[in-house]
Amino acid sequence: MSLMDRIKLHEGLVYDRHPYGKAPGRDPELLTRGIEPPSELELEGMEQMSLLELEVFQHKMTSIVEEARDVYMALSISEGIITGDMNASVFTPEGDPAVVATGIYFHTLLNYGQVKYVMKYYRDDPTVGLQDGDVYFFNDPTCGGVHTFDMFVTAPIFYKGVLVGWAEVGGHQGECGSISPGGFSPRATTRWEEGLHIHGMRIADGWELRRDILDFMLNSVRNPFVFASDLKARVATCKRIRDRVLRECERRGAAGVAGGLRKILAVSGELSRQRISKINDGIYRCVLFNDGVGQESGLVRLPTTVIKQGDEMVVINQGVSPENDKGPQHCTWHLMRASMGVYLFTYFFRGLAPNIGLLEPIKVLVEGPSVANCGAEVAHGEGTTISAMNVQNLHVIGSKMLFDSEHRLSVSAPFSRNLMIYVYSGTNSYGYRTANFTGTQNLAGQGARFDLDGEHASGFYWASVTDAGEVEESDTRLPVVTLARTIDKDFHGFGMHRGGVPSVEISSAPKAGCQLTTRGASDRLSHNPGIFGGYAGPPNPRFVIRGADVFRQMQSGAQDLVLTQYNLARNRPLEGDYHFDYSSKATEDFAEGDLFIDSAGGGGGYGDVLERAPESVMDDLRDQIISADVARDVYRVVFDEELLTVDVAATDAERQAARQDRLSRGKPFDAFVEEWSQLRPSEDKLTYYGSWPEPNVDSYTKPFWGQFE
Amino acid sequence: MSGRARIGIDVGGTFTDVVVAIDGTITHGKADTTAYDLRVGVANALEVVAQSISTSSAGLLGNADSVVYSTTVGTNALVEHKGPVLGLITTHGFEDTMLIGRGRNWADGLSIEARYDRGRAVRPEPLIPRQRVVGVRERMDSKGEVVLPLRDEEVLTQVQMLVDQGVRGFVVVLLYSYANPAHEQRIRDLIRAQYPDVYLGHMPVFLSSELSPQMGEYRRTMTCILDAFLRLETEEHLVALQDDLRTSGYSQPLLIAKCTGGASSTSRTRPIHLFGSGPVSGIVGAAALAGHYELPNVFLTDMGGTSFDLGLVLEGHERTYEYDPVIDRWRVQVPLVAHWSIGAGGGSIAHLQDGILKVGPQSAHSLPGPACYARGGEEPTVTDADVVLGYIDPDYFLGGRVRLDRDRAEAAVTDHIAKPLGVTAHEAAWSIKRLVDGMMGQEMYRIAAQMSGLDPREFVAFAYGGAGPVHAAGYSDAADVSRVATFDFGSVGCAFGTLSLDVAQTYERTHSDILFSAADGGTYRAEAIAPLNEAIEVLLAEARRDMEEEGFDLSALRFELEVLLRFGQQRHTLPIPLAAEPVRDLAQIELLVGRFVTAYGDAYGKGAVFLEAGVEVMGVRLSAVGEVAQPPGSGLSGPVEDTDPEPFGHRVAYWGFEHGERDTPVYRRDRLPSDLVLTGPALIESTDTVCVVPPGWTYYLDGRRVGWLERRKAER
Repeated sequence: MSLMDRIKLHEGLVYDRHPYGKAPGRDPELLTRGIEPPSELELEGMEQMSLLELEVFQHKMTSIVEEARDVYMALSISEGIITGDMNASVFTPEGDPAVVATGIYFHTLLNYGQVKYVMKYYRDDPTVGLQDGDVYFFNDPTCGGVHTFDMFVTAPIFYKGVLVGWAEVGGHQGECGSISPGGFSPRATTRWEEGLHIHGMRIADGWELRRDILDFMLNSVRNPFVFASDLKARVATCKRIRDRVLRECERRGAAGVAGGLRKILAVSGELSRQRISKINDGIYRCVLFNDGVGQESGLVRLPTTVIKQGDEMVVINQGVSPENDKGPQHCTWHLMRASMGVYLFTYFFRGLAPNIGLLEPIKVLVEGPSVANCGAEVAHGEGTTISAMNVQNLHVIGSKMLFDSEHRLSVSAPFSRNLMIYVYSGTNSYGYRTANFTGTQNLAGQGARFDLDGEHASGFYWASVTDAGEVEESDTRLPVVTLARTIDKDFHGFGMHRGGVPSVEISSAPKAGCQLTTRGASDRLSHNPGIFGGYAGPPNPRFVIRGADVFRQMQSGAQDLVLTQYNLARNRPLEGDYHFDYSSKATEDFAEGDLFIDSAGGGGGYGDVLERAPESVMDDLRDQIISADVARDVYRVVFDEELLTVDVAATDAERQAARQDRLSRGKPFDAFVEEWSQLRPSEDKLTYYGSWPEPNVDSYTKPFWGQFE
Repeated sequence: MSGRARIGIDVGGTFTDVVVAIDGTITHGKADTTAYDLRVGVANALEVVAQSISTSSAGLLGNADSVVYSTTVGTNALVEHKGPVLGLITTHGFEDTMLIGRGRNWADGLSIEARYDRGRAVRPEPLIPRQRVVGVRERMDSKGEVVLPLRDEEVLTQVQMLVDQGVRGFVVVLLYSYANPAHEQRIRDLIRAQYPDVYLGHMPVFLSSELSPQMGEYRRTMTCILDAFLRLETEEHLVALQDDLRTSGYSQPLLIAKCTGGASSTSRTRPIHLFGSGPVSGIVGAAALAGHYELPNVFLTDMGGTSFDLGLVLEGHERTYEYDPVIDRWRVQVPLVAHWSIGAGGGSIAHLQDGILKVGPQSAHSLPGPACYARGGEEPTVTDADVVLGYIDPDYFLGGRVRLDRDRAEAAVTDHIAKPLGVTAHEAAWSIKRLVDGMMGQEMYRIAAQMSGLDPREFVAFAYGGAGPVHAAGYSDAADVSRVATFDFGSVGCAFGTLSLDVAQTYERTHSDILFSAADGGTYRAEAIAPLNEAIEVLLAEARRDMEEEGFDLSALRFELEVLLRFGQQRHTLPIPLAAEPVRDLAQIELLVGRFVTAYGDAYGKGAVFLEAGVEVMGVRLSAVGEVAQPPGSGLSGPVEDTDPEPFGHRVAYWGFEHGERDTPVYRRDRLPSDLVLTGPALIESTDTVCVVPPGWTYYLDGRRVGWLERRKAER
């Protein structure tokens, strides 16, 4: 029996496509049809190119996009792009991304819909057409993008009149004319509140930006200066890619390049199958819950099941909470699929070149309409909150799948996704009006590995390599004074191997004050699960202190103030109003000396805390990343608090007692299920959940892991 | 021995090379590097060269006008974390700066593959453990205004806490100290008052505002820590070597080669500037050679056993500085002459991954080495492939000094690559070569594009290193370069380069201001002139002080000033040259901005220019250069006698799927007449390498005995 035969999909819902249909500028079928079959031109080139030549060609193409990435980051002035939230790509002539420099891995798997739309609807339309020097702009999430503040341009590459590929460049620009400055708009409840939506519009002829189009776009956003600067950078970078690819065409011919790009995808598909086939068949599951919708609290469910058989996998999200009209935490089918790349490319397919070909043997079924596969009308700006839950589930599942394989080096707890983004707006020290975030989100904690602790503050959840910059620079660019960037205490998942600690940034509003918009998730429920008994990374609510007037207090009553989140939250050493809030908050004004405490969350732990070497616990204490309470009460280490020396015998006894205590609390599985199935959150938490426990089934008596036979 | 000698010494990881120039004649020699005491290797290499010109080390040194020394001292100290016990004092709230390292520091200094392997990220151990980092409550803002005053009593408490942990030196890095150093200076004064210089146990204090007055607290911290960490060992080594040389009769100052692109006496040299001084010397030497041939743009390539190193000469100038350079695993603020390295060399191991051929980055190094070395290595390497292809004569490797085992090379290539892929040994070896050449070529392509924006076709390649001429045509072809120069001294190129070093000092500091404001229709800001002049004058004063100490007549110095400019709010800057003197009027500012706009357009395309964003200055950089005499002819030899245009012999070599096996003529480089154009396939052997001339390429030696590989026009 095929494992797939055991799936029961709910009638009336969609799984392998979007729940919305065609509209002007949008054709969802283009987003779900997969990699285009090779054209005649591509077939000719594929036949010519040996695997050896392909390796050389792929190196060259990678050099081209990596150069483009560096150029784009150098020229851009958007905080997100400078710090790595971007990509540069070459697509096949038929519109599939073949070679991508990241940045962000999900960009590797997106933006094909817009290119294919141009191919299908505009190329032969006499009112539009397609020729060398055309540049198209797009940022509409329903047409194949992420959110409206991720903006891209693409340009066809013609060689001697033959279309051989596409250059594409873009990233997280920020301000897009939505109801909140800076991009993220927690207040948005429909797409109409999320600013510019451009599906794929030609903005340049012969590489020259059209003045009327440019004026339209600049007149639609709050910071036309940044918008224009970054747009020019993108177009210049696209042209650079195109020029480089043309030189390769001179060496290999049109078919050689077009076929080479397509063959990269074909070979990746084969490598993917080989990798998958070596892993144990089975059904694997994990579930996460979000604790908010829009600006309100509320429980939302996102389960993930992977069915692996032979050289194929099916990833299913079934039993997902329905759409709501409260906010932008809605994801699209294509973003759910693309986001998987963040886990798959770094861990599951470690060592293979990341591209969309690797997804060829993976079928993706996302229940919709739901928060994970939403309609077109809802707000989409924080869809990544939902897709990230799927990635975290997949990470846990993947670690279980890979444990008994030759790829155990990839087994780990997930990277921190308890992401909080503080968008500051106001006037910076140069006198520019600005709205953007700092590099803090690039300082999240890594999940613990099967053989190693997680690294502290080591990157951005979505990206392979990012740069958090330095405070001396970001302080001049943004309307804040950053008072601390620390590795904070008790802010990670404990375990045999502990998760990495994030950096916590503590900032103050400057003399002129500033505005703050925040977005996040995991205020009460962590999205950083531990694995094999490790603790989850802790939740990460919004934390601000109003009326602190911090510099005045530091010069008078609080001279010995210790600027850490741990101290501020636990001891409240400053006068002021302490607010631990729901993370997604609309724009508010703040006065000089108010404090913002911001971090991207700590990674989950791996394995039982009672198995962590006591000396490693003492190292954590010396490094000030855990408190003595944790060493004593969680790790159950008995130690001298002054000298930090371990009493080995007493520790053994303490841990043995802890194990005995666990055993005494154990119960048979059936009894656990019986008890668990009776549990139910209070009704006010279930407003946006759907039916309990199965959101799409009115009456259901099994626990949530039981929906399959 | 007639004439006075100029001596260049380069200590590498494997060999210590010495080049001597006397009356325009270049002699070179090498000895094993002695990691336990580098001075032993230096002495041995000097002896080898001295013997080759029939004298002794003392005879050679006693007759020397100058010795320029490029060394790796400090590298091991950094790798093994062996240095003085230091403490770091920083602004409270930033005690973890070194650990956080912009979040990316786990990847700094790693290969591209490792940089993407986030799941296996491991940060290097910090040079100062977290327990020896203390914070003091103080704060400047970005303009240098005091926001929170420093308290002496807290400083003293924190200093005592460090002393109690056995600290023997202090590194002080406070936020925005480059804008106002007052708090850092106050901390130094307090420490000195507590631990006066006159007593034993005096503890040095390193201030970031003096060592690196530039924006960027992480890089500034690491710059200072590295400098402080390496000072003791570097100083002891250089002083001891100087004593050795003096004992042997050398009476002039020892000049130290630096990664900033010049040399200086020991007393004017900072330890951090020694890192990468070898490759940088090579680049400076290449620039001098390029000048002889009037070649504006040159790739300096150096393929050795484990790595492929690259440098650039752009528009005749070697000083292309690297933005954000990394030393070992640490990102620093040093005006480092840019050079790059990837893990591709003769020892790079070929293997199959998921059925697809890969080469490197793992290397067999010199031990066990390639399979053909017969030292226990069994995996096929690039050198094994070169042997199988017939390019390297197993009996004439390094002039016959090392015998290779062709059968072992063939077995390794066959067993690990050919059989699993179902191809012949020749085809497998060709694939290895093709792949590694492609990787190196693409690195050249990437660097040219990234650093200059130029088309690689506008470059000529210089091929250094033992494996350079073997693969030069291959990697140049992949990079779109169609002319390659090969040299007699290519295996000691870095030591040769030290002979071209001028005495030079380089200074940088952050200076942040708006030069052109887009508001009100565009305004060049007169009020920016005085602060800019002040920043320039600070650097000029430092330069005059140091160069006077070096004994130069200040009127004979050459100053090179660059102003780092950007469009409003960009992070990236472009260096724009400016006369090293005060800016007089707005017309000069307008000219400067105009130059920036032109350079920006040239680098990134005119469509990227965005004057509406305004133009900002972010820093100034000054080089002060005291020229020293160049060796006549810059090391190039004249015509030779007793030449022979006929091949020395023939052997079968494999030239790819298209050409297959060919009976290939083999020439000896030292016997070839100048200007004889040979058509590939051909092999040109010398005692330390073989130049491979593939079909479609030609080779000739010019009048200076430089060997030129050129791709025939029809093949371009």
